[in-house]
Amino acid sequence: MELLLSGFELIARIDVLIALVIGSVGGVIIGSIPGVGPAVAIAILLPATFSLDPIVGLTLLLGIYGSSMYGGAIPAILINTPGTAANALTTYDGYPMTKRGQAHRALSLAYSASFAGGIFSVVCLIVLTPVLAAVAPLFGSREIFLAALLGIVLVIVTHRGQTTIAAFLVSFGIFLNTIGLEPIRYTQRFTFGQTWLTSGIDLIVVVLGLFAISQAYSLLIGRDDSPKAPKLTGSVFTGMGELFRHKRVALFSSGSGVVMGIIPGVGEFLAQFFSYSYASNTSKTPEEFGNGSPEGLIASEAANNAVPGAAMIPLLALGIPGEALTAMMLSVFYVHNVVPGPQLFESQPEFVVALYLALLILNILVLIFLSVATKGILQVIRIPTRFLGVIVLTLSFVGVYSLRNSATDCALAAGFGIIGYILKRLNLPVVPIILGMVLGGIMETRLRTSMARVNSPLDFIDRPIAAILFGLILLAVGLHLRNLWRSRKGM
Amino acid sequence: MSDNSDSVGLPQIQRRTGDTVFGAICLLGSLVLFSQMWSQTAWVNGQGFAAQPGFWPRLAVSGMVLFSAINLAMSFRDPSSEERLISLGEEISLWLRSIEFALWFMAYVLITPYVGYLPASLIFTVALTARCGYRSPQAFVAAALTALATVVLFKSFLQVRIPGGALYESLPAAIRNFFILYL
Repeated sequence: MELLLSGFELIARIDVLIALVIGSVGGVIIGSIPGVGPAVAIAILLPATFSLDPIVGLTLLLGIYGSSMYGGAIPAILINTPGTAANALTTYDGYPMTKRGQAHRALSLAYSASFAGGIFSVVCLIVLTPVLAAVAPLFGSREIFLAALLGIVLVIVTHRGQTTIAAFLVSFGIFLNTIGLEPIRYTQRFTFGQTWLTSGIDLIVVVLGLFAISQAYSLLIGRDDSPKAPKLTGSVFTGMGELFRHKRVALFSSGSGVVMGIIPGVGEFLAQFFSYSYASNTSKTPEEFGNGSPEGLIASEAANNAVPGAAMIPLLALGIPGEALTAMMLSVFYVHNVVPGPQLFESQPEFVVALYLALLILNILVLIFLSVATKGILQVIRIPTRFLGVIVLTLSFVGVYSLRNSATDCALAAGFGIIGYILKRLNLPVVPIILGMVLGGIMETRLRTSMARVNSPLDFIDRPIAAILFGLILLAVGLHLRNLWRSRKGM
Repeated sequence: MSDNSDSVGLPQIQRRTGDTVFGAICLLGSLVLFSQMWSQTAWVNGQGFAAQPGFWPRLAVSGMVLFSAINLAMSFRDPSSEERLISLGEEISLWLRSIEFALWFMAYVLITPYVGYLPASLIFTVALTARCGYRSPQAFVAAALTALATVVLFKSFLQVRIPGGALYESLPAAIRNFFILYL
């Protein structure tokens, strides 16, 4: 209780509350614009948060992360275009409901399910905190190395049908992270005698290029579109009670969102598929799925909104980001010399609790905002695509240029933008590059530290957690190889 | 609008037009890096592999070569790669079109230190809006307001580090500091 009060004291400040309001409202609006999404917004805002207090900056980014999927459901339901990738399955049942004249019911269900998922994940975080605080210190260098390796393996194997290119992109990310002056022996690595490469390639430059600038190119080059959303009549909360009639689906989906969020490299995309499949397989009316099933809508939205809270668990407890957005947040921690990981729970537990409380409050703020502003948000959906590209490119400039006022950084970001655009065109993932950069750096440092105390390879996994992590890595690789074998036999 | 009535599973990933070209570029780039691996990284005698400064870059580049080679080989034999929505030439011309907007972005970057953040943003948004085909007065006003709002939000309120332009030096002393600090 004392810890809870200390955490509350940390966020009971006007600047934190303003950041929470801006983050949650901004996240909903950004999430509702197809083609922008939270990754673009967080990438652009990242350098701006460096001048803020860590709790203020992180609250702002958390607000965007945690609320964008609420907003993403709006275009998914009304115009059959998900606002964020995590709302893809919401179109399956949300849009058919809109076609039947039940748009307000679909929105109401989506908001309620998102709220349930968001609150469930925060409750899990709070309940798990004592466990995390007890377990996190058991993670030494070798355990953190193995956890990062597990993240790398999972981000590769979860890209089914694209595992080789995902492995290439992860390797590319690890390579990018090694460029520059090596910090222990000060040797040059792949600098080709260029002084501008000596300081390495900044993660934020790559993030902005791959997410924000590439998206701007994509919008500028693509077909111009200004979708028309149907008019909403009635309250968007008329169907809230319906969620309670499907509480089994809501609970399971929220739970699976939490589990998938905790596992590095998995995230909301798989969480929603898993929950949707469960809901469809256990429903009394499976024929309604894909044709406007309330259970389908609840499964998708509860699962994806439970992920942000849970994704904070590996980041805070181990310092290991599970996906691109938490990887970006990691840089905010580093800039302020707050090192997430086992020590954070010991030295600054109130900081961790403050972040949980911020997540809790933002879910409530979003619900209040949506209750009054849904009709207004429909105007945002109508911004023409190419004009949106102009806006994103203008904002991307602030993100890159304000880092070091370096034209070289901007040229690099513009170049990564081209790479990101080509990857988007080819339907290839960009997240493995970011995770390769972040997790590659963690693995290099941790392997170097842990090998100093290891005599034989078996010593590396002689501690229980290290052995479990190693087992999970083998399991992930084994299951992937088995799936490959089965699909080959099927052919 | 997609037909949503199909049974739901993980989406089938289909190779797209240009996948083989991209795979070949990846392999070529990886091979170039691989050929430079020994000259661009150091290997210290008497050190374990984990403490070697060259271990991780060499591992990463080797991984890039291996996986890009497998990916390229698979792109030749994947049956779904035959499903082409647009021609290879059209696809590559789209890739090249992104260079035009990269140049627009770099022009914005390069003029900012001279004319200042606000004027550069106004020029950039209005000119790019016109380039995108929006020529109405409302579009230009919207573009100018976008530039103004961005500058006010980031430089005036959030105080991001963007130095004042050289042009600001010629402003009267009374407003020079204001422009340098806030616009």
